[in-house]
Order: sequence, then structure tokens, then C-alpha cells
Amino acid sequence: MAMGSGLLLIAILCMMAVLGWPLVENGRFFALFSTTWSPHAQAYGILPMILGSLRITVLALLFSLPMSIGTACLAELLAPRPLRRLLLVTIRFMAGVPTVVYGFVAVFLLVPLMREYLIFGSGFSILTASLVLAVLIAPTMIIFFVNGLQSVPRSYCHAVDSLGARPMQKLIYLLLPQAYPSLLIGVILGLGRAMGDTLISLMLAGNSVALPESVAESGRTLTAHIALVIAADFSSMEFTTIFACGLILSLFTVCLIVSIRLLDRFGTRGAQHREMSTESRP
Amino acid sequence: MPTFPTAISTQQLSFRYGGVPILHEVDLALSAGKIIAITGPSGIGKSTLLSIFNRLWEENGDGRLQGQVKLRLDGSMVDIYQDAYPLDTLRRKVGMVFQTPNPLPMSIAKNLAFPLRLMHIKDKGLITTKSEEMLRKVHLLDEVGDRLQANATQLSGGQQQRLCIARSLMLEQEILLLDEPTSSLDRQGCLRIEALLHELRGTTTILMVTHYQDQVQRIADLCYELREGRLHQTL
Repeated sequence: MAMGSGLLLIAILCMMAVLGWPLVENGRFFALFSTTWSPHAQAYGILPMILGSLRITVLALLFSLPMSIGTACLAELLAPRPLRRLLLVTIRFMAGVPTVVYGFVAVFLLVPLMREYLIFGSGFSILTASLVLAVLIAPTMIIFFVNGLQSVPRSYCHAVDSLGARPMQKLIYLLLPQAYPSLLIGVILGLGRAMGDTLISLMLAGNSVALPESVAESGRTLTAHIALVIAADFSSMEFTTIFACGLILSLFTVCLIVSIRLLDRFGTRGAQHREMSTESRP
Repeated sequence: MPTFPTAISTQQLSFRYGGVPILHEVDLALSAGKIIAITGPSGIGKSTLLSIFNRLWEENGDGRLQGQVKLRLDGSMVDIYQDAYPLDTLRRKVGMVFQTPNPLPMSIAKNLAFPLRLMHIKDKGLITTKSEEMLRKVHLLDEVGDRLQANATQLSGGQQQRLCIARSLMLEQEILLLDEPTSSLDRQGCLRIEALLHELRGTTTILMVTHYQDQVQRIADLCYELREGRLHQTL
């Protein structure tokens, strides 16, 4: 199964590399990493889109992670029992809401607020898109986090409960450390979803091809760029660049997953080392 | 002959779990410092009865309790369901050991320190002294004293169970609830735990669920059989 997935991924990457090959043949490959996107002037720089994607993804994760962990803890342990059920039902419902609904709600509610109170200009910005993307990826992460917390063996929970642990102590000393692998998978999925989402960034980030100086400015992501180009063109050099965008996007996702896995491995080793060091003290 | 005050009392205690009646209007008065055995067929609700005294059943929801449950804590009788007695304090005073040993996935030393850690006690000297004292009490110090940093889950079943008892005793509970603590142990391990319970008699009130009549004869001061929602004294 894993091998099949790996082969499929490699095949997709190869296909995109082949379709984007004309860029290399025309000597425009390195020009891709410039900051100017102006097809009329034969400038196909997609660096603003790469940075746009990274900024929106990282910001969305920063907003979403504490919110998701907090909600998962509430839904699993901290909230009163009836509220826990309500929270879980709401989260599952949110996970099924089409992305365009989030987009429309944000266009009519969040964008005017941002325009009026936080950001100069139209209100369509990297920050606006990140906030909505954070809400969009939160249900996926929360569901994984809750599953992780629920998978902690009941015998451990009984032991900790019977020793008089308060709910927060149970969370900190038992549930969160034990559920760590599931938390990590939730983060990876959230990251993947944030990186791959097209509609939110298309509707809310402003789609400016200029390199944004701050998150309050308009920006364009790789996915939004692909959607915008493919809607208007099928044969030009401009069209060929979207395969480079796709390739970069895929490589980003692969790199993210690999680095989180590595962090996990080093983190686990580090934790074991720390534990042993602490315990070996007299 | 010394007289012991009442440590555990129930009045008109009824309990339903998931709609199924477990206890029906049980009146009970158990003296402090005694070993009280609870027997009865499997699935009759003996473990649930134990979990009423430290309110552990509440973690699973679905239960419904009526009546009064009073425990002697810090010298006075406290209605643990009515007097808004803090749950964490209750559980630190009423220890529980389960049928299956449940050491936490950490070192032996950390398992022993865990109850004190929950109470924000960080004095390493105190923790070490107390840990050694409790390990000695459960006759485990000689066996694991030189490898306190080893993972507790690597110990044998009997050792794990004695560790769990030692962990429970770290807080010097006044009442100890034991849910078939020797059912997964060999005879040697079983006798060791019984010896420990003998030592605790007089200072700790022990309520123990067991299936073994010979064990009841060996260590129990009183024995009740749970049958059709009521407790019938058999010893």
C-alpha cells in the first residue's frame, strides 16, 4: 500500500516535470524564482506565490493549532458532558461544510471588518485568508486530536483518576504526551489541507502578484495562481508555469511531512534522553 | 479489645448503571482499620460498588446514585456526594488498586513520585525517602531498588501490582479500595500482597473485592456477598 502510494506520487511528480519541461528548454527555469510575474513582458516569476503559500499556510497553522488543541481538550475532557457532545457534533458538521461557504461568509463578514478595523485597503489579504483557513482546517485537526486523546489506554486513565489528578493534570501528564503521535498526524493533515486549499486564498487573499511586504497586504498562493492561469489559457508558456507551481507545491508537502517525521523522531529520542538524564540524577 | 469508629457508611444507597440496577437501598456501617471483603458472582457490580466510594464511576457517566455515602476522612464523617467535598482530595484520601496492574508508562521512580507530583510536592529528598519506604512496605525494594529508572511496564505482573499498591500508599490513604488485586498473580505474589494487607490492618480501612473464599478466610475481618443488589454479611 505504502509502496503503491509512493510510486503514484513519483509518477505525478514526473508527469508535472515533463509537462513543465518547456520552461527548461526555453531557459526560463531559473527565472521562475524571480519576483516579477508579467506574462506580457515574458516574466514568469512565481516567487511571490511561493512565499504567499508559505505565509498563509504557516499563519493558518499558528492560528489553528492552539484553537484545535484547546477545543479537542474541551470536547474530550474539560467541558461538561452535554457540552462535549454538542462540541463534537458541531465540529463534525463544520468538517462537512463546503469551503465556498466559509469563503462567502468571510467575504461578507470578515473582509469588511478587516477593512474597517485592522487593515488599510480592500480587506482582502494574507491575514484574512489565513484566519479563515485556520477555521477551515481546525475541524480536521480537532477530530484527529480527539481520536488521539480517546485512544489513550483506559487503564492509564483509571490510574491517574484514582490518584486524584485534576482534569488539567490528567491532560498535561497523561493524555497529551500519550496522544502525541495522533496530534502530529493531525498537524500534518492540517498543514496539507492549508497548503492545498485553493478557494479560500482565491476568494480572500486578494491575488496580487506583487511580493507582499506584510501579512496585511494582498497576496497570491500557488494554488490560486494555478486556478487563475488555467481558467484563461491552455497552451502558452504562462500555462506551462503552472506545472512548475504544482511540482513545487507537491515538493513542499513532501518536505513538510518528512521534516515533521524527522522532528518527531528527534523529539522522541530527545525526550527519552531527557527523561533518562533527569532520572539518573541522585 | 480496641473499638474502631465507623469509616464507611451508606444509607439507602441505590445505584443504577446504564439503566441496570446494581445496588438497592444498601445500608452499611464498616469500622475503620478493618479488612472487609466483598464477594459475589462476576458482573454483579462489585467493582462498581468500590468505585462509588471514590466516585470513579462518574468518569464513565451513565450512572445514577441515590442515598447517602459517608466516609471518615481527616477524623470526621463526610458525605462525599452531598458536602461538595473536592473530588481530587477525596481520591487522594481513598486509594484504589485495580484488578489488572496499571503502572503508568514511565519509570518505577516516576510512578511512585506521580501522586506527590499531582500535589505539587517537589522535594526530591522527601520523594526518595517516601518511595523507598513504600517499596519496602510492599516487599519490592530488594527486587527493584537497584533499577528504579527502569520502565515500570517491564516488571512482572506481581511486581507491577505491588508497585501500584505502593503508588497508592504514597499518599497514606485512610481507605484503600482493592478490586481483585491478586486475581492475576501467582500464589507467591498473592501471599505477599496478603502479608502487606495484614500489615496495613489497623491503620487503613481496606475494602477488597475478591473471588477467593480461602483468601477471605485468611485475611478478612468481615465479608459481604453482593447478591440481587444487596449486601449480605457472610463473615
